[in-house]
Amino acid sequence: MIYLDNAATTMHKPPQVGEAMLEALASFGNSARGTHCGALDAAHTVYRARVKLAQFFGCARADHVVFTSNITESLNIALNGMLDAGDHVISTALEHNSVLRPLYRLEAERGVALDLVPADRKGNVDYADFERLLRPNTKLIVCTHASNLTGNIVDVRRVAEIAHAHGALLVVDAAQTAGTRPVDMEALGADVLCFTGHKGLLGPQGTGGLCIREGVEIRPWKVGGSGVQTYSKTQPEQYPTRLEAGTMNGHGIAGLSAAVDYLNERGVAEIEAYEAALTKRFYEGAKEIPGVTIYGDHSGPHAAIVTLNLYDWDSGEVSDALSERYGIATRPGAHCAPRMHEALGTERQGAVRFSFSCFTTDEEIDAALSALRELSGCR
Amino acid sequence: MLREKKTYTVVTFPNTTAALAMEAACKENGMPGRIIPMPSVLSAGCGLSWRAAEEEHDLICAFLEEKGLIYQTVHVVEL
Repeated sequence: MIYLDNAATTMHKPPQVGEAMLEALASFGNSARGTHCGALDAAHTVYRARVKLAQFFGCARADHVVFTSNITESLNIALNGMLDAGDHVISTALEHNSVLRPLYRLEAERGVALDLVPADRKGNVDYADFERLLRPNTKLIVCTHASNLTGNIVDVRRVAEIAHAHGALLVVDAAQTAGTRPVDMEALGADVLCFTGHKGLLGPQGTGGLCIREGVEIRPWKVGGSGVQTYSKTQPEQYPTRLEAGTMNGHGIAGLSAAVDYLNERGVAEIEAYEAALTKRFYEGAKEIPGVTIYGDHSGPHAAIVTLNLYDWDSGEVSDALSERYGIATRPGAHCAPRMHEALGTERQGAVRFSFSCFTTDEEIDAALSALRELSGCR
Repeated sequence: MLREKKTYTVVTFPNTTAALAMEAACKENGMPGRIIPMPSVLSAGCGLSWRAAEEEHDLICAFLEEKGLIYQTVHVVEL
């Protein structure tokens, strides 16, 4: 199989990820539950992962790196834990449902006011719209670093400046950028940075987290076992324990930690350049194929995503043909990004997303282009 | 009695991460002591503490301040 669905999850992981997980499965006790060597092995691994990720994402404090099971959980924790009745929040049409649905629910159930910055037909936002939508009670702006549909990069630094100038906070969804380009929360101006472990970070599914700037308060939505302060009726106040009730995914975090080692050894800047070259190779080839419509703005920095349609054909049929006839894995349909598809006018047809990783090769790109050319000729 | 009682310096922490940060800093700087379960004479419940010899009290206190480590209390206690 030629796997080009890396924006959903990366399939090819560095071998040390699996090795670390196997070792953890055979040796870990429960992190933060005792001081025997099994428990401490797990606790040390989780702690080292926090330190590594704090450095990786420019988070000033390792104890402000909170582990979750995925970025959807991270975003739910951040949004539900920061927004109250009477608050106003701004987001964008580029967002995934992991942002949109928590916001819609907060709007319906908690009386939070919501505005979305629209996207144009190329999938870009107008930054003046953030300014236009700000209100005195705007508590925060939440936006993606890159659209999971078009791959367009958002100038998060610019959004942060707008938010901070008005006393609002910025929550960033780095699902599509963490591990594939430098993501530094200080440089971006993020107050909360949400990440997932299983995409560009090359870790296992079931890992993710959030990095919190010192001084930002997030209420816990789940409370329970913490390994400390057992007789207190409330969850401990200190991060990360405040947001990490229950047994952690120590085995997964061991894999994620090994993945971060790989990224640091290879270098994120090298990965960014490598993926940019793959993306350009595919884009330049695909745009010449009769019947191909490519979405998004490829004139500037871009995540390793090219999304397209072939004629007016159903995206699911095209993706299925790529899989069945050529063994090429892509993602059709709506990609959990309803507002983005509405902006592109692709609600009915959906679109076929090709997404690349640092393990994708030029030969795989060329094979995908060749398959697209053949399908194009079937008309 | 499991073992002979002795007086120790014991540092308590608000959570596991803070205790592990102490452990990492001590290892890096050759400081004495090790992680132990929270002694019940200090706090009912669970959690991790740092135990060092009684005479290391001042050294440990100075180290906590110098490194800006997060902790709750430094005790001198018989365990």
